Amino acid sequence: MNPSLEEDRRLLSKCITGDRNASEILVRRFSNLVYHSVQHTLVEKNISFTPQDLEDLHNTIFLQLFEHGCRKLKQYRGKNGCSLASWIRVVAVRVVLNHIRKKGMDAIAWQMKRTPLEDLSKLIGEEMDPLTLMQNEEQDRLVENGIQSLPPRDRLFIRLYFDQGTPIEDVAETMQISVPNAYTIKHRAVRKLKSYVSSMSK
Amino acid sequence: MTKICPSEEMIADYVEGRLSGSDRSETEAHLSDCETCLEGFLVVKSLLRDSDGVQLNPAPNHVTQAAVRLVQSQISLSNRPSVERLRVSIRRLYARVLDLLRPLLWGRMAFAPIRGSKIVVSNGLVHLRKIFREIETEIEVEKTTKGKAHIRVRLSEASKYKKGVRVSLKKGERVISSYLIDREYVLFEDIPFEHYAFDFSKDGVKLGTYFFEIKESHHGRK
Repeated sequence: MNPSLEEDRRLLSKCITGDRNASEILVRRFSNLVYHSVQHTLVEKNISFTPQDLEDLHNTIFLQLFEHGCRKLKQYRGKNGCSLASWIRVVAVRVVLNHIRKKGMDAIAWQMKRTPLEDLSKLIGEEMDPLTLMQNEEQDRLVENGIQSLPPRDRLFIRLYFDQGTPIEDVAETMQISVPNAYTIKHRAVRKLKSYVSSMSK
Repeated sequence: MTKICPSEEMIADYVEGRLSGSDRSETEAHLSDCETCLEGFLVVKSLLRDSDGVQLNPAPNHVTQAAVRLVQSQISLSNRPSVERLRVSIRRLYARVLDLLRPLLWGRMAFAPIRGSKIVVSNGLVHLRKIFREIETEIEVEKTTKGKAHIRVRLSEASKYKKGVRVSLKKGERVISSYLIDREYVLFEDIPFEHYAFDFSKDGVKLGTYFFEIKESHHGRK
């Protein structure tokens, strides 16, 4: 059975007061969660790793929770019913992503980022005259401004569906909306964007 | 872009569908503009999706054990003594700065008044109460042999500090002996009649100095 919010808070307040037993309980309770979160994040970002990397990141996360007089742990509130496990999961993912950003990507990640040859000419603009390039840039700027003018939910949808290439069913699940609603947002956002771009191009 | 990134708790609440109204709208607005937060959000979301069906990989025992040790060493570091040490360091620094500035301020400075009383209890025994700054002391000078005396010092009941005050008996700049006053009297034995000073300090910070002379009175008392 998962510990209740009240148990979470009790455990946390004991840790904050420097209770060594409570701290050990906290580490043991969330060690698997943190370890799994680290592993999953590295796999998700296509980063190669060793067991030592996992251990280092696992320990770094716990250290960050407890250092400077438990400064990080003190940020947990559980206001809307967020469990300590949910909160620690997000903390763990952020720490790993920050670590990846700081360290830079390794060989495997770079392989994944390699640009296909067929896209190269587009990137260096060999087949495009300067005027077309400028027009494309202008169009990109207009689209970006158009996205900014959309409501927050539509903007997030655009980022997930068009930028990230996430299937619409997954976008719906991610945003906690129904699939028909996702289609409605898609059509509405695209219509608004087209109207914005055409009004600005006149 | 909303400049301040949402807290981990806000992201967790959004991922698990606990946000509504303006909180949800603000989080969505931020995620749509902040690549860093969006990346984190998507990883957490995929992590949850995977956790539904997949058993968590257990952390090896030695990894958990290492984290426990690390966290406990962190707790030891963060415990009160270190806070105390920091406070002491700040007070020491403050005292040093004050010492450096003292010559500049000398023109404006005057001796602080020392209040006190003197009771001659008996021939050869004098009881003194001295109050300066935050400390109130009781000093007893008892003549032992010719030209020598025992000096007992303690903090009075009314003193702000009840313990942890160090008293050093000095002759000129030389420290003859030094004790930590802890509840009871501290005793300086067989001190020859002379000019002396008591330096009172707490946690290395000087609280005050009391200059005095032990001498035979006209009546042979002190």
